[in-house]
Amino acid sequence: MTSRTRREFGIGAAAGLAFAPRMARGQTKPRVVVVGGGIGGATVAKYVALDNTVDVTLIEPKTRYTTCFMSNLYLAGLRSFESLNHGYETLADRYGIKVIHDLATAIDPTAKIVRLKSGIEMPYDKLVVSPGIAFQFNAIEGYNEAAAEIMPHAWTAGPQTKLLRAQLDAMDDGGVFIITVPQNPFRCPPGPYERASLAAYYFKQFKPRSKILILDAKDSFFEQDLFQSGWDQHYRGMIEWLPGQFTGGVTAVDVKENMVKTASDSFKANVANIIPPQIAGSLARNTGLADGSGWCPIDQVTFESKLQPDIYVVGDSASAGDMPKSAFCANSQAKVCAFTILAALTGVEPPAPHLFNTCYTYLSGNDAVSDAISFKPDGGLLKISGISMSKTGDKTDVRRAAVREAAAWYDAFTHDVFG
Amino acid sequence: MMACLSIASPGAAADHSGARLAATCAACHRLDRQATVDPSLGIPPITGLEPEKLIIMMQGFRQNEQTDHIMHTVSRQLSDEEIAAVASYLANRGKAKQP
Repeated sequence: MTSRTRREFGIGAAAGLAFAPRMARGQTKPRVVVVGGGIGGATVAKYVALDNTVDVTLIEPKTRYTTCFMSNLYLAGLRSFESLNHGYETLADRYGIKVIHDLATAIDPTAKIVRLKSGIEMPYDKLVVSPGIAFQFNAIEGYNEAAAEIMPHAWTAGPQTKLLRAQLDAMDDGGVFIITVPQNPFRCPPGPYERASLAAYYFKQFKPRSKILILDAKDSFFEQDLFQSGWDQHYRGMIEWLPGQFTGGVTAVDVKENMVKTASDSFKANVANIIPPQIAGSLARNTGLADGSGWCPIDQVTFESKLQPDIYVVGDSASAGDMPKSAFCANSQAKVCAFTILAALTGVEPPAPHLFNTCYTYLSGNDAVSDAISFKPDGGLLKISGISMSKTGDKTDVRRAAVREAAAWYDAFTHDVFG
Repeated sequence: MMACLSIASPGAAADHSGARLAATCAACHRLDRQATVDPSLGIPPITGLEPEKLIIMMQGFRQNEQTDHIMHTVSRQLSDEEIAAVASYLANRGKAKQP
């Protein structure tokens, strides 16, 4: 770590020494290995490394991370794909994190070793696993990985997002865009409805006779009144939302005919965006970190796995009580986890945890809403302790200000994680 | 030597606690930029604000959701001591030479 870093983050030499583990000369630093370079993993790595008393290794196959958040703006032509991409160079160069672009294939929790695809074995004192989500392919009949190349999920950002954008771009005016939404829990609960909003924003300008049909497994959704009043205001008649109680939910797709089937009906799509049910990333499930729910049970104060000692899980793959699966939550959990790990390695009590979710959601290119939720452990579960959000009657200038805030948030947030 | 002296002082502990509390701020505010009142920035940088000013702002957010509903939720989760610690940290950080 450079002195520049110390200054920037204010964990100065004095504080660093105060919290340094007491080690004999020549003893190696404690080793923290982080598997997964998404928002949760990258944030843990950075905030542990800021202490300058621990060797931090981050294992991530990809050299660039594409954010899911704000990718709906790309779909609407409001943001470039390149602007969603972030590299790991600063984490390595400024914070001294050893970034290894490899795939973690196995964990030996007894020997405390992570095995990589290349054959490297990484020993650790504390391990953080943040593998994000995996899709339950075939939970919807006919929807497998090959089908996703025809009916994209675009729920992990990257080639899937580009594919969906290309399909929307190629769709004729008057076409039908179907978005399917799974039961909770899934990544980014407001995401499908923001996607519908921004697709409508795009259609209204370029393909105004088009329709959007949301086939939901659920009967209600977060911020429903804000979304539906926005749809009425901006795109009256263009977006139709069908709750699970009307359709029985999506049961099958036919990629050859471009059909989406529910328990009660079949719908012909010009473009179909199938967001399948989700579970924790495969590494978590293959290494005994996930339970029968498909997600990882954790101590909701420390984020240590309830199933494997000295392994911590943060982000979408963790079952974190009331906390939704969002990038903001992953970042917030990662900071609590980093401070907890530093405390465990140094013997110093961790600070009181503060966990938040803040979300900016676009209803159109110049209308955004926001919410903030705080969480506190209560009886072993993270419960909502405070919540506030935009109102349906907000004035136009308030919504326009939220659009500016959203852009500033993205800049600050990605700087917090990768910069 | 200066560093060793400051370890023992309560100020160093407060600064450390302030730094970790500021991690929460960093999820929305650029901490590597000096505070400004330019509203076109969307979310203002807060580094270098006088502590008293930031404390008064946080008290206002706590009391009134209309001011800023996100900061209303955040401010209600922080104790007076925590707000003072983070305000002190951000002010001191603003005085340090920025990279």
